[in-house]
Amino acid sequence: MHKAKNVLKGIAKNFAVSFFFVAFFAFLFFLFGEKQIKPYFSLASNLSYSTIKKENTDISFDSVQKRLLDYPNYGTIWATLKIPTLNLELPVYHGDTLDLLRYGVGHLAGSYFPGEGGGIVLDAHNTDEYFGTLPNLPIGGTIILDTIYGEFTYEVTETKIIHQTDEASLPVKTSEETLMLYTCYPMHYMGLTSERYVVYAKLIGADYES
Amino acid sequence: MKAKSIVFYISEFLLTIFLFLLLACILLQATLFNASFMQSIITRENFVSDTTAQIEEEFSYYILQSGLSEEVLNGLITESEMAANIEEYVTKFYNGEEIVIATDELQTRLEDNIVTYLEQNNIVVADEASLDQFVKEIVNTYKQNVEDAFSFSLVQKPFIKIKNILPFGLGISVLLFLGLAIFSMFFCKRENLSIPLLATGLLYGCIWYYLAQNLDMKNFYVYTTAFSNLVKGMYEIIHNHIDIIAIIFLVSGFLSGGIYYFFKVMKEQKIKSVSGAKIP
Repeated sequence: MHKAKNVLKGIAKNFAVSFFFVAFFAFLFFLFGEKQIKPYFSLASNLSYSTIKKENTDISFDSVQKRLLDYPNYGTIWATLKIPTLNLELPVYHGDTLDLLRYGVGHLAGSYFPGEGGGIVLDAHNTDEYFGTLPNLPIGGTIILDTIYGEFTYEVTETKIIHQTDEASLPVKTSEETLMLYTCYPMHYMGLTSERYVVYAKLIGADYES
Repeated sequence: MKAKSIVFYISEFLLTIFLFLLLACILLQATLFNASFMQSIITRENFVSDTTAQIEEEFSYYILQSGLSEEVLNGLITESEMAANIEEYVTKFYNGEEIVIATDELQTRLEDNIVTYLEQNNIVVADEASLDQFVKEIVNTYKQNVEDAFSFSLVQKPFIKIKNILPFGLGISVLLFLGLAIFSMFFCKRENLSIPLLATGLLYGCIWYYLAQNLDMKNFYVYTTAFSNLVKGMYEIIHNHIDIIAIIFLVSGFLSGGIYYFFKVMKEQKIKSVSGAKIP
């Protein structure tokens, strides 16, 4: 019993010394090293899909500030684009990456949302299923954006053929709310084209809940 | 006697540092800086399949806007070719050689597929430039995806520098550890390495715990799924190795101390019994 006690005492002493060393290292680390490492850890931890997705149904519109109180998640559907003249009804996604464009209309992230008073850029492929029939939409034609927070009606004011690099023709800051539908041009073409077809439309009616 | 004690504890402290560095060098050489380790993670995390699938998916995005059929993508890339390419990139990466992503064969195959498709369907293309643009876009997509999938190439230069320094670090740590251990054995009458072993085990245990608490890698995503899984897989294994080191060194520390004190107590008892002292 006495022998075991002495052995345990020796081990405990060694452990205590080791613990003191580690505590000293930890002290030095938290004093000098953690500040350098923490931002990288934070960056790595934030580069993740773990963010809890919001429900788009919670999104509402502030009519006084003229802005959304919360924005849809990237890659989710937040509206339906309706063009009665062309018999088109397409889902509108937040974001316009090529994978989203396979399923519907993309909304250029960074451009405004309906009701906010700026330029809204929506783009889609130029097949008949999507924006391939846009040249058949006349000036004065109606475009409806049925969003999760209200319905917005636009009237076509102009159409243009631009070069793919002509970003000035897709202004985000505009004096009045402008909807821009954007697709590749010419339609039904083989390969990739460098021209783009743009439909401009102004807001003529809005029906939303504040 | 007091000075000897101070020297003893300082040597214990330094031994802990050298042992810690020695193990860190071994761990890094066996994992991150080891081409075979990288290859094993590539296999374990289905890196080749994920990269191939990702590239094929991105190719398909361009089909919709090109007016061409998915047929033109047939046989463009295969998993076996991709595996061979990736293996070559890994070898070049670890050897510090320049990584050049070959696209000539892919371009030729794509152009042949397009010509065959157009001929079979009697399609006459008015503007060849738009097809060239399509081919260029597909080739760039391939190149970009392979680059993104093996994004380690971005840090190749500093990586190779560290890789070259590591063996020296390991050698110096071993020499310093052995030198100090031998010195303290004679000068301080050291008879076991329990304290450095325990302290190193505890240090690695603390690092393991700190990483587990502060670094959320479960959902880590950067560049591509394949690359993210590769990083996650590497981190997971290194983190597990740290845990194993901590356990091994804590157990060895306790065992070393236990055995040492057991024999020390036995020896003391024997001396006392020989000298006729009363043993309680």
